[in-house]
Amino acid sequence: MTARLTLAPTLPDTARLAPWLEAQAEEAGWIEAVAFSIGLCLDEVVTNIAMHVGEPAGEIVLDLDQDTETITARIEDRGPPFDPRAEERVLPTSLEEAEIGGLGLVLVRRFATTLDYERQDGVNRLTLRFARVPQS
Amino acid sequence: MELKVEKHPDGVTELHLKGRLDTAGTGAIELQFSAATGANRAVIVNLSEVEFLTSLGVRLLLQGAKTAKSKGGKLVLLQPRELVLNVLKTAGIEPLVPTFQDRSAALAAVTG
Repeated sequence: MTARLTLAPTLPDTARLAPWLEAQAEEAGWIEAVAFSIGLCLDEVVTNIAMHVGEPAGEIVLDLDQDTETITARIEDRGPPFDPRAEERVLPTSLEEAEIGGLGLVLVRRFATTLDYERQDGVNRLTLRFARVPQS
Repeated sequence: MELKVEKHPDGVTELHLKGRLDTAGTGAIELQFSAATGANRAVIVNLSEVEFLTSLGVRLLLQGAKTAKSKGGKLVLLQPRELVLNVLKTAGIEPLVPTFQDRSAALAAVTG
């Protein structure tokens, strides 16, 4: 069964994500660390779209599917092609040089178990998978 | 998201954050937080009641530390929960913004 949430590509609308995810977590019994990772990654992705694309992204469509081992989140938007796997970023080594642009994607890459991207018919489709029991 | 400012008699300012420091939560307190970090030299940010942290929250903490340093002050983080600490470490700011579990160590770091 798929659960769907649609959001406008605006920062105020990102506030609807957390309560929706909390309801999913409760219903499906996600453990805390996994719920945290999912919440973090989805907040980063949706915020990125709202901050850097905005209206041209159209509606953001978030679908969640789960089986006994994996929770899969698919996020679609109609903004310009953007492959989050393509960017690499070096972490800062001093307070002076610390710039946080792109940090959200660093967190997504580390906290999602797998990350896939495809562009099809004008749609960015990002697929994040999370193990229900986190690997140590 | 809530921010409470506590002034200790020894001149240390403790900022108590409570709630989710995500996009919405960061937006709710960032002006108040920036004002408080800009106006004080010795700042402890108590994270013990922060249950969630994303990159915008990390950026806010980092900017606070930069502001404090530019004014000759210090800002440290106190008692982040395990999952929040994990984000700070992954983001690479945990060594840049000193983070303590022990209150007296945090106090020594901002007053020393």
